[in-house]
Amino acid sequence: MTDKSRSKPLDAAQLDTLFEAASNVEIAPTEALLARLTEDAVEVHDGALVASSEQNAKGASLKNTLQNLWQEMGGWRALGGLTAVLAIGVMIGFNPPDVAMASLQDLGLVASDEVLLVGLEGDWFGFDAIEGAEG
Amino acid sequence: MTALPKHTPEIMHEHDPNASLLAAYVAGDVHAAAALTRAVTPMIYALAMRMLGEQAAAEDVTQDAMLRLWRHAPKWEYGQAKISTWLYRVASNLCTDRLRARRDFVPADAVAEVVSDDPSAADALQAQVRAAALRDGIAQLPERQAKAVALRHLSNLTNPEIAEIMECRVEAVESLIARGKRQLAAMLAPQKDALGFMDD
Repeated sequence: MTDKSRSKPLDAAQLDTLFEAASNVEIAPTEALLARLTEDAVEVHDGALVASSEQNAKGASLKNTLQNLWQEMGGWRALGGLTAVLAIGVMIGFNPPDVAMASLQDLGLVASDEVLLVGLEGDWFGFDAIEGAEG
Repeated sequence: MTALPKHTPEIMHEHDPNASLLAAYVAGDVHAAAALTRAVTPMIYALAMRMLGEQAAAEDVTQDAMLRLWRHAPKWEYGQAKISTWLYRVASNLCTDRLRARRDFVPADAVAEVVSDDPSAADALQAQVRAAALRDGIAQLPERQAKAVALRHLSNLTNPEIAEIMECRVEAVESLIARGKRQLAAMLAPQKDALGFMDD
């Protein structure tokens, strides 16, 4: 290796010789590599399917949570019961019983004349009966 | 992975014969994946092998590139880049990344002189020394020069093909190759004797 050879760059032909030598060599992947790559393809595809189904499952789990909550609250039967109680409450509101009104008076929540009215309402049948006897 | 291709297989086939295989793979056809693997793997493996010089490294790069293709498959834009172009781009990037990390340039004086009494063995050894020197030389080039030189002279692609892979103009490819070869010629000058070249 002389100083002259160190300083002078390779010429085009020499460079081409190197490239040709490198590119002319037959290079092929092994069957094992090809099999591995195909396995990867299947795994990636299956993984994507799993990920997709997991995403669906996420949506389904929110639905399940709401369903469970509904069931824990008693479901439709509980809603039926609640409706019945509400209806009874409304009826009582419009037609309060004597006992309830008397209790409310004791507590000072209603006036005594309201109780009187309730008392009169309670005597409607008796009054009618007297009227009927007199008439 | 349920996205279907935007174009019909016939249109895809006209543009890129591998595209219909990729679409079939996305639809769940394992045989299409195997066929596509056989069609495109040799070219990227050969590039990786010539650039890196090690079977294990070349296989890693090939596997990595193919994995990226499988993962990208549902989002593939049919009618755009060819699959081979895309793979060359990915594989050459992976190779230059490895070369940059490696930078195992062997100093000129460390390259063994080829000495053997058997002419065929001597030729084989000479070829190995030349291939190694070329790889090391390419590894020392700036990344884009290394890619352009490797795709042109190791994979024998045309300049327009390289321009598509590197996403640049053909003139830029020509310039990269010319500059890369000039640098290589200067870089390998100290190894002339070991490479079996004699000055006049």
